[in-house]
Amino acid sequence: MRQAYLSVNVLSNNQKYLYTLSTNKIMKKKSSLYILIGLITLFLVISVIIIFPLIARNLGGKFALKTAAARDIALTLDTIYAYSYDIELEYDFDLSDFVVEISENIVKIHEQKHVVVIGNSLEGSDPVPGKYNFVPVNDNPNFVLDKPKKLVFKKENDILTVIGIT
Amino acid sequence: MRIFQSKKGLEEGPVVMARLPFWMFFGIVATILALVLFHIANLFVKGTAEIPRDLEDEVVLVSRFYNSHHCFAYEDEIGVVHSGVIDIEKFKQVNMGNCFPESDVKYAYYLSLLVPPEAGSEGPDQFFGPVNTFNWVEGFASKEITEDVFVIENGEKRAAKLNIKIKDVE
Repeated sequence: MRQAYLSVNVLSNNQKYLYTLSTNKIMKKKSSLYILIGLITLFLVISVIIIFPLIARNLGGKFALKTAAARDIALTLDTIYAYSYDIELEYDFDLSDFVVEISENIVKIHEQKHVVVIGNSLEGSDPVPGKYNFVPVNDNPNFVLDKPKKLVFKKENDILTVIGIT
Repeated sequence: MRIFQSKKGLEEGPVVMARLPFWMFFGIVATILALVLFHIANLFVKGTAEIPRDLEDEVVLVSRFYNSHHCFAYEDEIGVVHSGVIDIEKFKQVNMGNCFPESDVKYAYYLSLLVPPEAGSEGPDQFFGPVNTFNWVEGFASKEITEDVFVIENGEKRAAKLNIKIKDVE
């Protein structure tokens, strides 16, 4: 800026006036741009603070757990069916926030606040359940386990039973 | 920042915010940001719940073909099931329905047995099968594995190779 002012001094009065006008315009445009950038940054920061916990709560945490548990249980069932003899297996993982549904060759994990268990069936459904397919052998399992702290898989004489321990 | 010190900045701030281009630009950037965050969260879920590679298709699901008596595993007269031993009489397409019933599982299988001649005798390899799962469609297989098994044929036990083609299914 100092060099600019030195150069302005050698210009004529008219030229000085025009030069001052144009630099003021440039400075005015620059300050508007900074304001725009600053406001957008501020709004984006506020948006991130609001949006990210919502996404983390809905997509992280429980959804990840539901998906992992559904896959784990489905693979456990596939393994049990591949084994020819009687077997009893404890699945020691706390799923007491969920309802586990094993039917139609799919393992589904629902959050317990979205569904109501009536006998061996469910009313309501989780909008984003964790689910994964499995392949039974000579069987068609149908179980609903309400808020289990532990699961016990038992195959006896080729018949599978799944018990949820609360 | 200069805007907080500048009187002009304080005057012009509300003017900028009242303009449509500002809100359009903000909307686009906020949408892109939300999508990026959503994608990152999805990647987190995917990473947490990912099944180790080859575990489901090559280990868990395949083992039933030569371990389960409802599939092709040999079961002797007293009811003992011999893991890893295939009964040639059972190695037929009709037995696949019980072994691998219809479901939305992500993998399809195509099996064939190659039985070399007995030790000390010359002759061609014997080929049995193929037997495939309900969701198998002809075409390129993403994986092919070979399991060393035994076969029982006419009461005789011989070493064989179980060739398994695996395909990902949508």
